[in-house]
Amino acid sequence: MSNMTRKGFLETLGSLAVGSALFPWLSGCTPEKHRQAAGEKARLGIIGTGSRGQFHIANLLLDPNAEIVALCDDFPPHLDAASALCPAARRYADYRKLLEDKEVDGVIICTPLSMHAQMTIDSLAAGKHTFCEKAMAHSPEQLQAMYRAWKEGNRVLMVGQQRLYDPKYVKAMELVHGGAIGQVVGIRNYWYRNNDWRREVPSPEYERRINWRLYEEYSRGLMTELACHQLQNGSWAMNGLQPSFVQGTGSIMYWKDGREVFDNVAAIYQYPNGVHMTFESIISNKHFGMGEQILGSEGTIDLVRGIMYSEAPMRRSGIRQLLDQIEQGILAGSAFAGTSWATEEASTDKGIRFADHVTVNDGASSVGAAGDGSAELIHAFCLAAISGVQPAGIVEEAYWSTLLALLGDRATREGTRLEIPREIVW
Amino acid sequence: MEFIYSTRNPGCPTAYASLDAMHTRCEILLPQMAEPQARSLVDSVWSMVREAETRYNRFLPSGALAAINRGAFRVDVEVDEEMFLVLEFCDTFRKATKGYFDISANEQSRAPGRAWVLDPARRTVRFSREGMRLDLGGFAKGFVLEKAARAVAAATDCALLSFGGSSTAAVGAHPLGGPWPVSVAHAYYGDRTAYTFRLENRSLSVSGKDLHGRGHIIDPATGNTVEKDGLVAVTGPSAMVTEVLSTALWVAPSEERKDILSAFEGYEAWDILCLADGTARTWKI
Repeated sequence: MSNMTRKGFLETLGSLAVGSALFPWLSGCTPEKHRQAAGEKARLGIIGTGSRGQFHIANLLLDPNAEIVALCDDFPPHLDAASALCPAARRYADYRKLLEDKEVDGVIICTPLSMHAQMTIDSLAAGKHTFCEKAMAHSPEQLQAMYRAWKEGNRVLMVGQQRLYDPKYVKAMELVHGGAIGQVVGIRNYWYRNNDWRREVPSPEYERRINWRLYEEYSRGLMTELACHQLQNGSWAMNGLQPSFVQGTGSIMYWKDGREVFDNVAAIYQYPNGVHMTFESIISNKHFGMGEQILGSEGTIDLVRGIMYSEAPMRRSGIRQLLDQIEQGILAGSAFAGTSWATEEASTDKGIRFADHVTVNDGASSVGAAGDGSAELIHAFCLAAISGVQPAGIVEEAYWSTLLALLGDRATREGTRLEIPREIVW
Repeated sequence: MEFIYSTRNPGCPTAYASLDAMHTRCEILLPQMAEPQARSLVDSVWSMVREAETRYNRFLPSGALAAINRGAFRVDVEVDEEMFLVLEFCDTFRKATKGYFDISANEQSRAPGRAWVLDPARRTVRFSREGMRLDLGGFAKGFVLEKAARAVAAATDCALLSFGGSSTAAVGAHPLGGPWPVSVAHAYYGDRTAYTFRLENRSLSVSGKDLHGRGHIIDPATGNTVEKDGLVAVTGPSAMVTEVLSTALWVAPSEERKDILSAFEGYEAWDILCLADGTARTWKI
């Protein structure tokens, strides 16, 4: 996305945010906020310069409000690769040294999950505005400590839930809350891939560090690395209502290569009003790719493809309605005029594409995909680091999606039905 | 095909008829007309529509337009009077709309210069470019609606005709008084209204992306489909002209649209933008 395009989009998002309590975190991206930040740069340090860190660096190098001044990684090849992208940035092997760097305003943490909490807590304590990749934490206890550190401090915290800044998700949620699909009656999420989720390692001693996603010490597997993104859809669609219970199951049934996390899981979340949200992932079949659907009593929204389907596709037979009105002696209008439609399509609803220029992410990449909201999210962090103003609601969205992922993981491992706390605990 | 004759309102018996044709649903409402006359009128209109469907459908190999598209490259193809009239209309409208309405616009035939030539003396058409084709889809709908509305107006002073919702013609006023209220449907919210027009002896045409959000109107200048948000609606006395104008104004850049519209006396046009929150914004062009 070019700078101009991104700026234009963020202004659009900002104008949406002005009139909507649904997207409070976007209030940091209004045209006014852009004007205030014009010419200013957030001086950033990147902790963790592996694939995701380099993905953010690539976006930040195009961002007029970003300057990368420091890099940190304890794996030299990753640090060297990042240095090649921004050679002027200072290099650190210990993140605590980077946090002592007075020239750093904001820190971006892209390390394995188990490191998120301590690094974020230390970063906030060091007075740095902090962006941490999702999921927030490796355990509910870490999550609470992280939330508490932010709540008791006065620095910005943002988390890498990029769907919150993806235009098609924003528009979709506006449609959901506007009643376009009626009452929300279900939320379906799935994420299928067919690969072993492994990265190449230079020598065996690096196995657990490089392939940290496969080991419980560092990661909670599919639930924290994939589900965390999709479970946030549920909170968003249900207007902040959180599930009461989760149950699930999982196993290692195909990739029996020494990994400790499941290669297939299924979890069901139940909301207090009886609605269910499902998450299913298998990484030995990719036929269905990635899917996220909000099911309503009057329609369905496919979040990934930006399409809305109606339960009863309108036949645009408005003149027939006028006959009914004449029969009753009523002079009223009928909404039947519009663009062309084809009768051969009337029996099978192909849906309405509600977002233009949709980039459909098939979910195959473990790093990030163009057009998935990551660039907008990281730009929003730059603006927040410049202004020092915390985007509202974003930490809470991330807290809940992480907690749902962690409890879902526990439910799949224990095969139990777990109760989910009603309030944020910290 | 459906025909209903309702006498539930004794003061206003009304016939309703529909026919799936021309890739859309054609509908007629005939208030205050006796059933036999209504049936007869509907039959004659549907005959007109079916004939046009055969004649102007470029995908029908046995149709007249398909014959032109097959054989007119460097060959004079003689056509009947109505087809020649239609082609003359299209050529006139192309010039009047600065080229933004163009029945030769498609991905295959894009190139500068006029690609088809009419000879009024011999009533022939000839293509100067290989592979080009004419597409009368949208225009034919407006043209036939105009013919149908004229036929209906000769028989009654109160009727409403709609071809798929994108082209509507009101004959006279609503039987309960005042103009016919015809609302443009909101793109996202079922039967919510984006904007209501009041038509009396006027037609309405709406252009934009189709109901599935796909651009299907070709920009003659680029050969690409026009991809932008919103709709363009045009009202005026002729259904044929509103069809042409809504297409041209949808394609044309905003700075040229007022100029194009000013060449058509008695016609008005609006931009309609449907928003995800269920509201819509409307601007007169």
